Amino acid sequence: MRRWILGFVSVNFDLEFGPTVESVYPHATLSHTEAENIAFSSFPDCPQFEEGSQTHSFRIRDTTSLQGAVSRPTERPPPLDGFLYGFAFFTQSRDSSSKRGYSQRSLVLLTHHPYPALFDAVVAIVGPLYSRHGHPMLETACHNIANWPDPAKGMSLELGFLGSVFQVDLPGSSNEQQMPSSSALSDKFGPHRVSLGPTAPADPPIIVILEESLSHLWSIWECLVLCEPVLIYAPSPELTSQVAWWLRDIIRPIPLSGDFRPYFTIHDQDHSTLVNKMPPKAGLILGITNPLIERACKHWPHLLSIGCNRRYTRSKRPCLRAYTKLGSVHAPEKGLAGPKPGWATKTHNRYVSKDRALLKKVEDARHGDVRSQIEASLALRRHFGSRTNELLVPLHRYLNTLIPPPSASTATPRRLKAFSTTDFLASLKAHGSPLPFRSGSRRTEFYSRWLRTPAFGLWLAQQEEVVEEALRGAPRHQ
Amino acid sequence: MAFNDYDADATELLETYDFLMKYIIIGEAGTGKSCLLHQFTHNSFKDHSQHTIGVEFSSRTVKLGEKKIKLQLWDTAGQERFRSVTRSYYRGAAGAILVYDITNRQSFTNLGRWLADARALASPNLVVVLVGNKSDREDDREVEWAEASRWAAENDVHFLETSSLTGDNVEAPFLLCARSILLAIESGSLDPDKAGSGVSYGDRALRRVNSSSRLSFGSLSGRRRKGSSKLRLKDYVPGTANSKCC
Repeated sequence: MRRWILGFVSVNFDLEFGPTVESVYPHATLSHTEAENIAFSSFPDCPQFEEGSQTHSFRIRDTTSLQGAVSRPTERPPPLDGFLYGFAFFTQSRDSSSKRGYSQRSLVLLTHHPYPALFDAVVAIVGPLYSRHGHPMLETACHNIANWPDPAKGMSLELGFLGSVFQVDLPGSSNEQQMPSSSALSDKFGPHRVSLGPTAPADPPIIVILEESLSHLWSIWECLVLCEPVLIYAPSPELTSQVAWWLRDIIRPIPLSGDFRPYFTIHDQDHSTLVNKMPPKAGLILGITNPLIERACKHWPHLLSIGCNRRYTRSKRPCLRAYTKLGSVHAPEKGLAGPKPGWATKTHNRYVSKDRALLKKVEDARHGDVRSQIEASLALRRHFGSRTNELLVPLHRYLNTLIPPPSASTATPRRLKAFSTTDFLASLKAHGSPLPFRSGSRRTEFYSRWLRTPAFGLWLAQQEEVVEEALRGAPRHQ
Repeated sequence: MAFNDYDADATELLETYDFLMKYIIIGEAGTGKSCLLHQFTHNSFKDHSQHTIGVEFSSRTVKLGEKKIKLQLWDTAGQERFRSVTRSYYRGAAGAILVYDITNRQSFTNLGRWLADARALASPNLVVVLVGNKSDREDDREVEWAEASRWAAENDVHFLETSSLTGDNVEAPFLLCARSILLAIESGSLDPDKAGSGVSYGDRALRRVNSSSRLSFGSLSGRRRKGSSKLRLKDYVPGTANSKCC
């Protein structure tokens, strides 16, 4: 089972301490910091609704990977990227026996794999069943997962889980682009679901969530690929998570260079490292719902704020609405409202032209039915996915010239020749880029900037690895 | 031989089918449900079978005439403590394999309760096949064939006996059930497009499949999977490296 997940954590609200980890199943040792981090990250930090439930995700540091950490407990597999991913199902219901008048709980799936669509679906299924049937349901869930085949990269797997069957295509690497097949659209058979491992959950459609920022998506995409830090503010962790994962997805195959937190609370152990008076770190993507953090980030260059008064299509979700009756310990101070919905940037000037035809289509679909919203959301994702590929075309073209010729094989291992910015820019000037830049000089500026980002460094290192592996394997293939 | 068959299946790249059907396997604890299913999916007897935890998933594609049918099989725990858990999986099942043990009268007398649950919760067109298991233990028989056959007729379900030890007749209940469902589709009384029918049309999509039911064999084989071949140098052309499709 631990090939896939670490386990399920049950978090309850303690009148004295706030959210508290109640149990971990199957048993796994969590450090004090982790337990506290999971507890707070699994609860919304501002009031959500009177009664209802929602799913969201978060990413916290796996303390077993920290330097100076005590040796890792044997039941804990090593983290893949130093982080633990949590997928939470939060429920709130009226409870007259509680002093607060409400019962609040969260069931959290902990894993090292960043597969939001899959694990979001998993907690959405097991969450309600667990509240209804209790422990035997968790046992069953873990048993199902234990029977799943290995999470082998690049495989297409059929995974049975509590009466549902997921068809999952695992990416070959965490940066691989995956486009849904047409069958992903039609959910024709109740128990048979199709989902993709690494992308954002598709419900509600992203064009509905990003309604106020649709025309700015081209700027947002540029900021992301240029490793600009982006703050996402939304009224619920469910929305910050969906937006964060979606943004991460559209810049594939470019690797993520900065820290990535779909939902970040003031209690996170890294709070003072990530949110302080200093300029934010490059490539940081931070999802928040607490206006206090938003205030502390006033000096950040870019803010994507999600509106709160729209009707969501997600079935049986109560309308997201702040209310004051419930005295949550994390309730924002009175009068502290979130920033105005939309995209706000202090520094960014767009380089590339928008696709106005697509924008028009998406804006029309926004007022259409759910199906056209989903289709337009997919089209948007496909568009930015291909823009990211187009960005890389001049790079690939130039890199191809750096591959040593086969005849040069000597005793020394063949490797890619060194990357030269000047040569690349000359090649760019000669051959251009498929991206529709607003002018030639903007194109040069954009690429010069991109070459200085940490993402470029990571990307180049990956390409070198791929090429060198291929060079080593070349005699066998030819 | 069976080993080689499944090794080939585990790396099977294409899977197409005409229909997808959801089955549940239900009945008292210890009647051999998991062993019956194991015989059906793996062609071998499951030694040292443990009690099932909640529900377990497996699948197998069968051929009926010209039609290829993919069966999604949900094996359920017979133990009382999982009763409420397993009941939540009945929803949307097109077929139910209701199992009792011919050497255990108690498992037969409780059938009414299992059937009532299934009829109440599964698809309204649910096809039920009653299976008297452990037919290899004739000497310990406590339930006569005739009596069970009468019960089946009274309750409008199919009936047959099997042995999950020897494998005798184990395919029959699954095929019988599939045939009845197909007939219902052909006669128009069951509409696969209707939600909750427990049946859907196959998309005939070409897909690499590694079903979890093959896990034990797939991991034994240790063979490299086809999907993981290295990127070749000639693939390294603009726009194609690292991108699957677009």
